[in-house]
Amino acid sequence: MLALGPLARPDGATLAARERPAPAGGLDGFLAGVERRALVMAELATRNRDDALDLVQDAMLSFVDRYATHDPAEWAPLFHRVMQNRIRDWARRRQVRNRWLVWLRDRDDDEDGPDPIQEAPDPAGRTPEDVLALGVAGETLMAAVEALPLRQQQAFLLRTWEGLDVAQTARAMGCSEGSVKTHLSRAMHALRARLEDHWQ
Amino acid sequence: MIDTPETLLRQRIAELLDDRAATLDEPTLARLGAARRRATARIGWRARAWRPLQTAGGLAFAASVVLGLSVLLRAPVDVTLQPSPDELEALAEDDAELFEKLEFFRWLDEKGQDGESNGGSA
Repeated sequence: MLALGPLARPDGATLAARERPAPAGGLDGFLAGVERRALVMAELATRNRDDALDLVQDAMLSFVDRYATHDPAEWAPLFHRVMQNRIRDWARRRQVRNRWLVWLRDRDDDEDGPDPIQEAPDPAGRTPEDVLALGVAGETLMAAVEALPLRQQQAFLLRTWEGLDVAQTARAMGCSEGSVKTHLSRAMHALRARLEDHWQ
Repeated sequence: MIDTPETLLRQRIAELLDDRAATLDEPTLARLGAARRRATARIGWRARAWRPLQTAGGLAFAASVVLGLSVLLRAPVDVTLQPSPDELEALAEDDAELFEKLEFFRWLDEKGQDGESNGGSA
């Protein structure tokens, strides 16, 4: 059974976007304020810390090159957009690589689908049953989030964790607001289904 | 207001994610910091990279302006302008030797003109 009450933290603080202070210390201060959360999001998508660090670094470089001179009030949504694009590009490259591997191994897997990124399988190969079998509440929850298809995971994290509204999430993900709502609804449905036995 | 199970689930996941972000290990934080410094250093690098180009561009623009103005404002120069014999004579008045040479050259000139006219009529 999951303990859904507030999580005890040493400092009692939360790092949610809506509660983060405005960028201080210029660009360096802004990046220092978002880098940890960006890494966590990238790691949830890639399941690999080195890949996640590479993605964050690429996003920082691209963000500085393109948007350093923009109004600091626009930095957060612009950084989210760059970061999500990097994650999506990574997923596409991985999918292409996997296709080649499948072709080289002469397998006949059927990978056609309406949205290959959204339907991308768990890179760690875990099934919902595996996720539930982890047992520990916190790890189970994190594993369930990790197991979400990428687009659902992006919508869930941007809306739930970063506190972006639907329009901001749509801009960051490069899709319509309707798609954001659909992805988020499917994400919540999947989480509830996967955590059903633990969630009483 | 009563939190729904879905709201509680989202809150719980957000708290877990906050914790994960707050408890990253030191080597990872060091790598993040290095990536950030590398990114922010590009601002200064880009500015420095542009400065010589801006200077060169400014100099090239100034040179083109000067060249254009010199072409537009340059007065036609009469390269055939020569002092008249009277002016030469006035200059040579105080120098007897130069005056004699001048007389000699004048004689040669007249002689040559006569020769040309005689030859032309012959």
